[in-house]
Amino acid sequence: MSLKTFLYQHQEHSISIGTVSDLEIRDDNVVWESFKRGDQGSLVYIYRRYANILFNYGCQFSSRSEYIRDCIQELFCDLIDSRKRLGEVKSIKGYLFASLKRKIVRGLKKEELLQHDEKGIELSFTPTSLPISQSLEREQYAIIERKLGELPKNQREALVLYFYEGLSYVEIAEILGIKVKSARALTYRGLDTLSRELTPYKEAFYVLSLLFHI
Amino acid sequence: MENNREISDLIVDENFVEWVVKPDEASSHYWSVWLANHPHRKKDLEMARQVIESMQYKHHFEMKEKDFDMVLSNIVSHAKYEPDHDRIGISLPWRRIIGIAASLIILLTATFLILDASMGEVNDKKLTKEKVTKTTLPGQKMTIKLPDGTKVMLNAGSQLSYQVPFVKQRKVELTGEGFFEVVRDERKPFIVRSGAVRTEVLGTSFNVKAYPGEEQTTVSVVTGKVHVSDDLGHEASLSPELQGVFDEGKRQLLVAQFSRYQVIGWKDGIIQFEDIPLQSVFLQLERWYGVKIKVSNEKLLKSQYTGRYINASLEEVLDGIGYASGFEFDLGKEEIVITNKN
Repeated sequence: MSLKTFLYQHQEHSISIGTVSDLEIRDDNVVWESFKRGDQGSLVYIYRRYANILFNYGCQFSSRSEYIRDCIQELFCDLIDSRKRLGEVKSIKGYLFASLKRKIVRGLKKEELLQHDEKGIELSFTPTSLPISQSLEREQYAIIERKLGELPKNQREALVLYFYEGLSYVEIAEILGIKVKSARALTYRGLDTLSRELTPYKEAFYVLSLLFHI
Repeated sequence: MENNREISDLIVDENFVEWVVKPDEASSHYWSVWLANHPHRKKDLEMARQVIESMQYKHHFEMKEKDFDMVLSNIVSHAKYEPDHDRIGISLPWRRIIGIAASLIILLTATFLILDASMGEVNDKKLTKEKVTKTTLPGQKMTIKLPDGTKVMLNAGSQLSYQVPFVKQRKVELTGEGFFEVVRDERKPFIVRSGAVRTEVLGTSFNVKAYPGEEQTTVSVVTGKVHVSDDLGHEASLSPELQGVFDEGKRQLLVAQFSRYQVIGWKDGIIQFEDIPLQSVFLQLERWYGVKIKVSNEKLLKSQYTGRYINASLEEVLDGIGYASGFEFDLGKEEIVITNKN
């Protein structure tokens, strides 16, 4: 089994209710504690599970993918060096995201920093499952996408961290370097815009939801 | 509108989003119970889920498979050796360079390591040889502890590489300068290869200086006995306070006495010059502080200088030398420009 398939098996999950989650997914606390004790298996596990997710997130800030790759390597080396001093971590993913972002931004070139300040993370609203893409015309979600693009960059980042990465408000606050209250407000504002944009298509969503039996 | 409000309460709920993005047994159970208690919300739940799943990055990136493997093997090898050495003043871009340099070498053994690591454990017996490379840039120093307990202090602009585990011999390769405190092991001689010069010891402390582009390679002994030989067949046995000097141009191996501070002061932050032409002084400062020095007047390079500095800043050192040798300097961004005093 290649490393890639191994990784994807970690990421894959069944959405349907009642499914027992992938046994490969280990409890964050357990993994973190054994990593801190110097267990190599846990280190390898953390890397396999998060390296590509971190890479994708990191590349949103710089087009130099080798730089992002090196930042990830450094991030893990830093973790190893300081593992005895590390505290408890509620979510490994949130912790890694926040650390990686700090590292990346610190090393960004001036022009990239400016570009990032202007552009930020670009979002897409692309239904992944077949039914919704049939019900909502390509054009229609292109409109939603454009509206999302008009959101302030902090709101966009909060949305993608919240929806796509599944991070909590506390973690988003840490990553964006803001208060939890502000992270919540930021996400809410983004969601509000999204809801307004979705209103015209609510029928389409309804048709769709009828197709599902849960 | 009403319907959207109905999904809003779900999509602002962290637990709901978390369940959609990464469901586990507990959350799946929770939401199936929730649904059983709110059967009329079935459609809302599905729509909310669809909305959450539709949100994506516009651009997706994936690590190249070879990069993914390379970084993993670098991390694993870092975890194995890191606790044994401390880094001094290694900046972020620099560590990246070490990473890349090391990875080029480690890549060769990467496949093996990864296979091993994928079982969640690394069995040292199964590991064949792995090459480790440590590098310092100008302006940086590093202390390395080798697997046998030997301590190596690497001076600026140097590189040390070796294969682990040590089996019959403890063999390392050095370019640049390093101070070795070798742990005694009579069964396994410790060998330093630096260009044409080979230094063999059982357990001593000594300094090897072998910068590329410099005519001379020196091996200076502080304690114990050291055996030096070169590719031309010359050999010498050195005791403390003695130095073997291999001259590439003259193709000679000479034995001489040396000034301790001048040779090994660097490891304690002491920089000392004894009747050294400024050309060599500047070269040493460039390495030591990681800067470029430009001298506008060639004649100046020939004049000799004597002086000692302890943990001094570059500015302090240049002030001192400039005072004695009659020059001024300008600490520019890119390089330091040295001009004659008017």
